[in-house]
Amino acid sequence: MPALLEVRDLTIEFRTKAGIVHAVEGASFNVERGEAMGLAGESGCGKTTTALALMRLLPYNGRIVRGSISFEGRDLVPVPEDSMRAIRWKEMSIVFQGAMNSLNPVQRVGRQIAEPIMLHEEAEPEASFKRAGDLLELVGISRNRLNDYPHEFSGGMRQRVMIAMALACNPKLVIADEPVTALDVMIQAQILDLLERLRRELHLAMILISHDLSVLADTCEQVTIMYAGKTMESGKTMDLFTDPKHPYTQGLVGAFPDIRGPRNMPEAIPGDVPSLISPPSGCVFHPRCKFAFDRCTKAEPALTELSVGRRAACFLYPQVTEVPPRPIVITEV
Amino acid sequence: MGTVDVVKVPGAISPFRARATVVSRRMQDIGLQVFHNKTAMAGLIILLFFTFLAVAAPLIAPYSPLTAVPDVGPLTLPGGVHPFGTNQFGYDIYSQVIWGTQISLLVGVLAAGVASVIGTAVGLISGFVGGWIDEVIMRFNDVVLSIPWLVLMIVVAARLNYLDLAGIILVIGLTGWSVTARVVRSQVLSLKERMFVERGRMIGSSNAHILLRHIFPNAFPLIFANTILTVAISILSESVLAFLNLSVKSNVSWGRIIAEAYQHDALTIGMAAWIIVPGLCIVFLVFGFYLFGYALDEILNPRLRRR
Amino acid sequence: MRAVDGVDLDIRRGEVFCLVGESGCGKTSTGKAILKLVEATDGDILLEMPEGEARAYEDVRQRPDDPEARKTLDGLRRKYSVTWKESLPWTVEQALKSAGAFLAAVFLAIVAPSLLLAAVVEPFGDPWSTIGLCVSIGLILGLIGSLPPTRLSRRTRVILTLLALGSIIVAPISALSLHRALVGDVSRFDVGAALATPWTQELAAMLVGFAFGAIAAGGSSSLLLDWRSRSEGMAGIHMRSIRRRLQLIFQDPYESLNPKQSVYEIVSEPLAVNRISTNPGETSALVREALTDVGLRPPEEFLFRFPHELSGGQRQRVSIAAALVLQPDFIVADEPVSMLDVSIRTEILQVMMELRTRRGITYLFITHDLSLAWVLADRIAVMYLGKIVEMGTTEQVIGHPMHPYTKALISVVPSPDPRHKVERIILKGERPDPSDIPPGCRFHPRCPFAFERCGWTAEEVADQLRSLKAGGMLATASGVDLSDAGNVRLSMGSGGPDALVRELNALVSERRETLLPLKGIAAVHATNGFVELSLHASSEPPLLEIEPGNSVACHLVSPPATVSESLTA
Repeated sequence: MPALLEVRDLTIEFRTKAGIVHAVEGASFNVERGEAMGLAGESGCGKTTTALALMRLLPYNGRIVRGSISFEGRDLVPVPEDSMRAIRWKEMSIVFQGAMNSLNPVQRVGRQIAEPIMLHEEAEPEASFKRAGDLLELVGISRNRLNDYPHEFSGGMRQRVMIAMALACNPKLVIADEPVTALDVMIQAQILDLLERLRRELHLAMILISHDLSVLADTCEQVTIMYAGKTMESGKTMDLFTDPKHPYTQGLVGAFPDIRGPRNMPEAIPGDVPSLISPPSGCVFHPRCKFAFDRCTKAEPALTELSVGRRAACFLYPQVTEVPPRPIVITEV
Repeated sequence: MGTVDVVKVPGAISPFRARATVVSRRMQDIGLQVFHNKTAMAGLIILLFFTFLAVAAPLIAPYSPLTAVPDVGPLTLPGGVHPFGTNQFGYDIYSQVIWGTQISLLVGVLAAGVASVIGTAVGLISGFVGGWIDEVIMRFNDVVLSIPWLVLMIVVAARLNYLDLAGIILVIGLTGWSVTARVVRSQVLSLKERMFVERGRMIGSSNAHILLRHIFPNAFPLIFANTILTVAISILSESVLAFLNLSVKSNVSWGRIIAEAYQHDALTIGMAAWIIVPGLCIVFLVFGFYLFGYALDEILNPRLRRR
Repeated sequence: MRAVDGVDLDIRRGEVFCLVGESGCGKTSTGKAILKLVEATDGDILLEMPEGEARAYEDVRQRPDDPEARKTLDGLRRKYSVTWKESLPWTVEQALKSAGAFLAAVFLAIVAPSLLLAAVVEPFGDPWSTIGLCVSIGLILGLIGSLPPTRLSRRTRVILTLLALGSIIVAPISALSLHRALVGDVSRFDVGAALATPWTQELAAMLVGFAFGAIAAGGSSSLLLDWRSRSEGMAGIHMRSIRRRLQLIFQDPYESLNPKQSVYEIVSEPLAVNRISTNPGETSALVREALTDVGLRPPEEFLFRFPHELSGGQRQRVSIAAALVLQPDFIVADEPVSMLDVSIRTEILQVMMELRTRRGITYLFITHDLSLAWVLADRIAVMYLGKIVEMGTTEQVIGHPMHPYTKALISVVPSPDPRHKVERIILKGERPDPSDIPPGCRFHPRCPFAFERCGWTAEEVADQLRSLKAGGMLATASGVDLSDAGNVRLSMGSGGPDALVRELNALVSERRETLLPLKGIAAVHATNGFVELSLHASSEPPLLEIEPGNSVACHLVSPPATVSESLTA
């Protein structure tokens, strides 16, 4: 049975005045039903762009150049915009980065949650409002607060409202882009706990995007690491964090101080994130990699399967098996 | 992060040299951006054209603007040597239009300069000092703003019976500073809260130092762009005053030409150029300043500036 | 609204002290107050106080009512405290003495110069004597008014200047009348005309004299007061001398640099502003050294770049270089790496720690990231809602936390190693608004271990009972509200008082471990047709040292004998 979401060789470009920005190249991952996958990387690595591409919400100068996004067996890339509207929010929804600050300040919260319900499911306002109340209760806010304005909520509660909105039409997959970044660590724990509970109760699949590996270590079953638009490594959380194969992953994991580990200073990865307009030749990480050798400057390593479920793009490992492309099944709607 | 030429700086760097290097780099950077901006270039071309006219007037105007031409009489229809005809005194209108550029540009730029300097000073002090001084200044500013500037200007100019060049510049400048003051003040208010100003205080800078080195340079782009737009308004103001016979009497101004053309029913007697050409000149000159000022504002004050 | 309420911190030379807490706990305000970027409402920031004097300070602090102790305290504060402002109230005696001195000064100022002048020339006859008169009035006033027994105060200068202006206006009366007396003029003296004379006769000179008289008064007064304050040891610490030694690194590397200044100007500015080096050669050398020290090598490559041409990590290094160039002893770092990419953070932290070893800098690190504090800090203080709840060495605070908040906070910090999963104590709710701080222990509404003494208010208990009632319990009560005295009061339904009391007691003993507000109930009694609940006395737990160097503010931890009880409202 195919996974809920299968992304293969997704490549996204932006046309800018300064040149073509290769925001994402060759991204490939799977998300099973009810599973949480973490998409990790530093600023500019392409994780948000990938998320927007999944929802077909790229800005006007962005295009999917190649690749496939297979949702329940159906490739979304060639799907026209009107059909996409039926999928957006009903099958797949997203909680944007910094979303808690994008609530309309002059509209009541209940109205804002009910709106997608009314639009997508063509429901009556009364029923939509009742459902909005249900959703608030689901995320741990009393339904009495339906008539409050966003400024009457704290940051953490606004984030809950955004999550409620994302769940409005019962999607199968929720993408959360940096859901806890701006929040205090206690509220962060509350929100992550909430997401975990929702995942279990509603059998939701989730893609959690974060630069904070510690957050992903706690909550996700699978993690994909991206750097400068390329996928570096992916695999099960436990394996990836305890035995990272890719030098970048090793560096990244080592860069986070561990409050439950020894009091060592975290390691640094020397150098800076490269430009996405003129990326380095060969492997995009080679200028900062301590294991880099000659081949790394000349050719790009492909994402190869090292063991079941574990893939890395690095010449340190034998480039034997490629991930075989799944046959795409197009179902007419 | 662009590539920067490594500046070879052996030994001591004088503060002057430090500033000079910075300023010249910034100028180069802006110059390049202006060059690539279509709006800015369009405006600049118009401005250069009129500047050329003003500067080269003595050379390119065939006749003196305030002397009766020897070959034809007054109110001659356009044709031949006099492409726009002659006015009621027999002066060549074509020459008058060319010479008129001088007044418009001179008065426009200088008056805007006066208004800008006063407005900036007021805005800086008011915004930075705050408190009751700010309140008093702003209420006064409100009063000046609430009077229609055209009316104010006309009244002031009319009161002072005789106006020379300096006079007209002062009249326009002293009535036009209030908008600049407001704009500068709001910019100062927002700059005051910026983190680098806080840092300035932390290292022990005096208020004067913060105002001059932190607030003013960051407000300057806005002030500059605003000044260019003020020039447009000043030119218009001068034209209006000239039309009403309130501007300098001794020199020729486009507004004056239009006034005379209007008095002599230029449109009906077949001398449409007499009234239309100076009007178009005003329009285009103002338009040129507007284009350039608008584009410069975009360049100097990028709205989106993050990472 | 108290952002920071009674915080005591001791930071030792050369150590890294971390101030941790969530947003709104007051850590940033504390850091900024040390640098005087935020004015402290009360309290002292004591710099380099020797051990003996520190003990004396602690001692006199305990005795706020003893006038001798007050004097010693004031002396100590003047010597060591950055925030010392003249705060001793004026006594009537001092006020009278100062006022007397001012009056004498005014009198002298009006009479003496007039006397001198009148004897020589006709007053206000020529510009120079006019100006001279005004200036001498100002000078005399400024000097006499600043001599002892006038109390040293910042306002003295202003008062004397204003008095000088007044005297100048009034002086013509004495000058002219004295002149008339000397000359033998016995006609009627018109005061009004006399006052107006100088302004009509010598307007320009009067205006000049007016201005310069004021300047003379203010100037002479300033000079004299300064000299006095230095000789009497009343100067206190001048912020200017301190700024060299205390510096701040800001959180946002993008916002804390002036976009119109080059790196050279940013780093050399502190030197120029504090007039430390005016010679360009010296300045350039210091700037280069600072840039090299923070890892921007070669410095020449960065000197004339603008902030927007640098990466985030590089900007933060420039920030640090600008702080370093004054060679400070103490740096407050407010979340210096939280806005940087993770792989860059370590480099910046390495730079900071290296500077600590090489230059002996002491750090106050403000952060919300406990894992960072774990690896960096020598000592940690945890803040909540403006108060320190726990303080000690890193091992003590994070290894063996005592305060329930600290325990919860640590349990909830994620670890990059998925093997290190712990039982998380997730607190309910959010921190209260700082304008509405809970009484008793500030943390009690969210504390999983709160008990009787922690500060349960009548409102909290009433709310808890109301929600129980809404859930079907307490059937024998018809309503829950607050009595006029502020106690919780239950109105009876059918069944009478005894039934209600019984049900209540049963409910409380059964549910008090899970519904913590119930622990606040001390006694239940029926009166006047209602059942009233009286609450336990509670107090705010003080920060007590339970081991040397380790303090906690929690009733659970502090030894019961030393906690003083006080009734809540």
